[in-house]
Amino acid sequence: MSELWAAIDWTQMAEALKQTLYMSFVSLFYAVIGGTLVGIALYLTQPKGLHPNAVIYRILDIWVNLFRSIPFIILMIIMFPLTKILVGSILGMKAAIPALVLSAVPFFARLTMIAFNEVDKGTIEAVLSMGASTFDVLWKVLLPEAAPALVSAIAVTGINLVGYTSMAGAIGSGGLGNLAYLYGFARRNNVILFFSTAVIVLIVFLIQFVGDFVSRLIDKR
Amino acid sequence: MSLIQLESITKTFKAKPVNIEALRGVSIQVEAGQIYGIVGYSGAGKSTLIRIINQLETQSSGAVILNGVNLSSLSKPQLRKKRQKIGMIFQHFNLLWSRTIAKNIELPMEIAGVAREIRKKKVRELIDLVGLSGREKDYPSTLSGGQKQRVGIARALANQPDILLCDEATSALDPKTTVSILELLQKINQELGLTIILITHQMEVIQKICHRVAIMSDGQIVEEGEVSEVFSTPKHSITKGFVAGVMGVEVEEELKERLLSLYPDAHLLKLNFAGAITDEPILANVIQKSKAKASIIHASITHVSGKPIGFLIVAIDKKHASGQKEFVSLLKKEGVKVEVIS
Ligand SMILES: Nc1ncnc2c1ncn2[C@@H]1O[C@H](COP(=O)(O)OP(=O)(O)OP(=O)(O)O)[C@@H](O)[C@H]1O
Ligand SMILES: [Mg+2]
Repeated sequence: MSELWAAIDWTQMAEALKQTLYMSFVSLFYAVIGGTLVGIALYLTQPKGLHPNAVIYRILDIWVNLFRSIPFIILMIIMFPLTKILVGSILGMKAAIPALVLSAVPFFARLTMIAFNEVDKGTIEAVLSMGASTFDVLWKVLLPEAAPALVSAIAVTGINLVGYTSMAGAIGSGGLGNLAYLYGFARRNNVILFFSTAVIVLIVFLIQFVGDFVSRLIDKR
Repeated sequence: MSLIQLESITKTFKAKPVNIEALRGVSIQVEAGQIYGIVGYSGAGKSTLIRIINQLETQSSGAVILNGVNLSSLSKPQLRKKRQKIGMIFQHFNLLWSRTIAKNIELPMEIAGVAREIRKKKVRELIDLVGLSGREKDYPSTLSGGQKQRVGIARALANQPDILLCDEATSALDPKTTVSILELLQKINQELGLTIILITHQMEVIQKICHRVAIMSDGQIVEEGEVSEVFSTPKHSITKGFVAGVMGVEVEEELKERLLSLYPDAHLLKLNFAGAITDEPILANVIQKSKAKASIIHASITHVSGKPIGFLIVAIDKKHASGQKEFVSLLKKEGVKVEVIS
């Protein structure tokens, strides 16, 4: 048993965990902000929305669909030149972030739009009848009423990002995926392979658990 | 000038395969302080009309004039300001489940930019007014339908509106709750002098609290007038159907046919009672004075805006018809409208 554990370099493992968490949560943070903004724009400009605008809606809609359908690993490779300009390198955990954000923004934007569309039209009509502005509708109705769905969306996006960081790890951005691939797979250290996988699974479960818990806590329906 | 004037409102919804003409030239005037009912079957255009009053929907043509101001002339911010003074309540209440009851009632005042302390004070007043003290911190999901509508009413009153629009406000409620909500609306009308426009497909609602009524069918108003007048002498066939429904009687033609076949050997007279005259024992007096042997074979009396209205149908045996002329003229002298059926 102790021989098994001995196969793991714990400082290395801790560093990889730190990198995975950093990449996942920093990109989640930007993705939620960007995705919310794009989601709001999609929601408002959609046909029969509060401010229908066929041009803006169509452009955003196509962009979202396009970037959601590009596999992450390919997106990351395509983005190398841009990443180099933005981060100064294509290696390391910071270098993974532009691609991670760009892949998660369209996903979160779509989930935001769906969450908003699920808000009871009657309540929106009610606040409009009170003289609410579009900002009031967003701030006082859409965001609070859609909050449980948005929390779930954040969890799902976070889980996706954890998965993507592992892929990014395989092409040099560090983290648990990198460890699993480089030391676990390439150097045939099965203990490292399984242990890093187990940690990744644990992170995913934890995100899901917290997401469900918070979502249920704020749902007063 | 009337508080609310709708002038030749039309509304066409673009749709495939054919456009829908939801409103086809509707004009009404509502005086301040009135409870004005609009009744009609499903699809008549009632909701479309009420939503045009606060411009949630814009008319295809025609004008909405509130207090002398044509709403089409207002800029968007001006219109929003105006809407703050027009409360609205809905069939499905449309409360925000993410807010407590107190916070729901506070919402319109937040939108209007009312100071926090004033908001809190007003919320307490309104909660008392609608009889929900103690439930401030609860969420709407814990309330019954009637209680939710009380929150809806409190919320609609928060910015002290001049007008309250009610779209099927009682249609999702049971009869007993309906009555309590209607009484609340009546109290608001009397105590706050609020003008209320109320849409419904239940004639009982009109009968209970409205002063005036418009009957809508197929995007048009087919009849309009004082409620007691419309109930006692409905003119349009749709109105007659609604009135018959609430009086618990058959549609007039069917009733007549049935009675004629039941009493082939008698003359049938329909006596219409309207307004205060029914307070006196007219029939007893007349039957005593005349020699006609009249027997009552059908009766329907109800109360509209507190006044009794209705009709009786009496049969006079053709063999003893001698006193009939006198009977009729005595009744007419008392102000009863007499219609000879056979
Ligand atoms: N947004 C819309 N788009 C297309 N058609 C509409 C729209 N709103 C209403 N209509 C149509 O306009 C007509 C009148 O609808 P409205 O909702 O005003 O009727 P209503 O009298 O309120 O009926 P109900 O008693 O069922 O509520 C209907 O034929 C309806 O299908
Ligand atoms: Mg309707």
